[in-house]
Amino acid sequence: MKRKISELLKSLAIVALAVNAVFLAYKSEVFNEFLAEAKLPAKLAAYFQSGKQPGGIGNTAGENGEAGMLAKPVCMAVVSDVGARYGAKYDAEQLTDVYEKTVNIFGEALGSAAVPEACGENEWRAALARPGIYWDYQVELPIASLVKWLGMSALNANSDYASRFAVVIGESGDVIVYYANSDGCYRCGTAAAADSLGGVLLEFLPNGAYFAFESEDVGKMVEPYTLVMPEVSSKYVLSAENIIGREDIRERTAELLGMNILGGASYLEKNGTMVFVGVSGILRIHPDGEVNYSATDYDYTADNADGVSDEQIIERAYALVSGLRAGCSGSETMYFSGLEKSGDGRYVVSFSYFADGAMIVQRSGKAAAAVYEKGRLVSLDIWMRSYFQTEERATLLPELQAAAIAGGLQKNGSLKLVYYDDGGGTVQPAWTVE
Amino acid sequence: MDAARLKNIAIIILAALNVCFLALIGSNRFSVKQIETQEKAALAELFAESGISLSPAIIPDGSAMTWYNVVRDTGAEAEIVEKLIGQAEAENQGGNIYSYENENGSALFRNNGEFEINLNFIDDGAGAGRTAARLLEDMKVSFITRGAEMEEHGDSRSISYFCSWDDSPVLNCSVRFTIYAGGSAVLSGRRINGTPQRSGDNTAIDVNTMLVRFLDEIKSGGHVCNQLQSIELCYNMSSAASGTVLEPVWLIVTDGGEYQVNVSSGKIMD
Repeated sequence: MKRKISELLKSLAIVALAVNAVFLAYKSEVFNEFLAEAKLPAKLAAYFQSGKQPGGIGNTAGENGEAGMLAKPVCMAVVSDVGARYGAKYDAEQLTDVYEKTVNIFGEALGSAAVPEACGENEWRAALARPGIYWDYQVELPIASLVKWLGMSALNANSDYASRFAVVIGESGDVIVYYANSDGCYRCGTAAAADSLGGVLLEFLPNGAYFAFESEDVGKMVEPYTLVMPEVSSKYVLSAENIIGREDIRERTAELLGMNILGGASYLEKNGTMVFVGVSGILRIHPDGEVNYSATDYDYTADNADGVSDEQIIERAYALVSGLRAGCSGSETMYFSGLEKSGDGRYVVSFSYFADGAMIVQRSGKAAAAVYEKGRLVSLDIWMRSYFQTEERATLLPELQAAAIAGGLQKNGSLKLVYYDDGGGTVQPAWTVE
Repeated sequence: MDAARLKNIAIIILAALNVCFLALIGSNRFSVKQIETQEKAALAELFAESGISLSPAIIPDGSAMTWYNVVRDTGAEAEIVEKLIGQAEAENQGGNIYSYENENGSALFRNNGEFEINLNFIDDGAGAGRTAARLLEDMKVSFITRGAEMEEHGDSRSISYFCSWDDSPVLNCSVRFTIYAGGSAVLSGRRINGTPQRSGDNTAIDVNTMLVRFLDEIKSGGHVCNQLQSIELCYNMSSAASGTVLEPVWLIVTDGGEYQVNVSSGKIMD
């Protein structure tokens, strides 16, 4: 009996010593090189090194994922408590920095906004000079959708559209949201904390940005709410590529638009356009990167798509174009650039590419336009192009001088710095006035 | 050779192997320690050449840098309310702001962790400091009492604590407890409003490289500094588009002021 127990203890001791020896061998890093070459043990090595569970605890990413991308404006400004302004425009890094620092308080203010009251343009202009933050989308978008894309709950369902927003500390110390659209200017009280907003404003130093209306001379030349950035002097030249030339993207495009790439009908036209004919519609892929899809005739009376909201249409369209462009490695970002709707349930949702904060104008205008009728995709036109920064920088006319010339061409026009993509391999920046 | 003998031999060999590995680990650690000591001494010399006193003893050893994601826990907020003022319905004020109110007081919680709890009456028999600590424990808020001092303003007394994570202060999360002569109290500030979860690794430079860059910035920025008094790894909580993150940051206390230093770039943060 004693011998049996002794032998059992010895067996246990051998196991314990063997396991401990393996553990100590790893800790001593003697076999690190061997482990690095052997992939399976490396996973365990990573587990011990990082303290993470194999498989890892992944990022708990923001709830809004892709929809959150729709909330990013193309022009922003921050005004300090002493009235000094920091502007962000035509610079992707700058825009991202301001966005990241202001998004929470902006969303809190917009989400807790009370029922809007109309206000005069003078009050709107005065608000732009008050301590606060300014976001400009350069296109009107549904406010209710914007609140959702910012991941916030809404106190009041605001059915208005707006392109410009200001969240400011009012004279009585509370936080007020102002917004402007083609109908006028509006003001809403909020439950946002003035201290929080004040804290955000401290993070920016002024950089000389001002609104055109704040200068008597410039205000006569260009659209009054043009944010003039005195320091814009050069911009990267871009190189452009037709990504539809890639077989994987071509196949994915066809699949996402309902084409049967294995057994379906397809043919090549003389000009190099690939045509797919499917049950749901016809897809044309042009060699210059343009893609056109049109759905076949459809009996809408059987549909009940009345419950589809503006926001759902925009998100569907964005998900579609994002899906088509997944895996593209260029430096461009896709921004929502317009929604037209008519009473019969027809929507046209457009998007534009932006590179380093400046819009890329395609030969036909927008980068993508999706048409929906009663919630169903009727047609899609998209330029499948990708853009990359080159080493070359193009010298630009200072914005003030560009404004003077623009004023001569078209008084009070909207002055913008854009890239023109004429289909070639190089894309240059230029000032334009609309 | 019988099994018993084989086992004895196996035990002896394995025991010897364990001892060898232990000795190797010990020797490695000793070498690493020696190198660290030499590096710290060299750093102290480098600072001394610039007229800044730096004791090697305050330079931390290589610290593991971890970033955390924080997802807001509104359930925990409701529990806090129940604990401090009793049952109350949450009212959504929009912008992810939730408020609660009943006969015992009111509470308001914001998306970025800011909060305010008003207590109509509180038993302060234990003293404001202890009462504050008890309330924070009830809220399951980890905090640091170091440096906290009672302030008196007329008919009220206040004390503030930094929130903490992993025993390190979260520099932009602090809670203030104020008690008034009539027995009412306010607990307000900013707390970590969810359970931090490890996020993907971010790169951080080692502490020695950070100190060299810090010295460079001190000299080029014209900052007044004759002595480094402490170097501590802390956290900042930031709310951005991608979510809320607890990110590590170095806090360097000098005779000329305190500096927060980015752990990835080594730059002094504004």
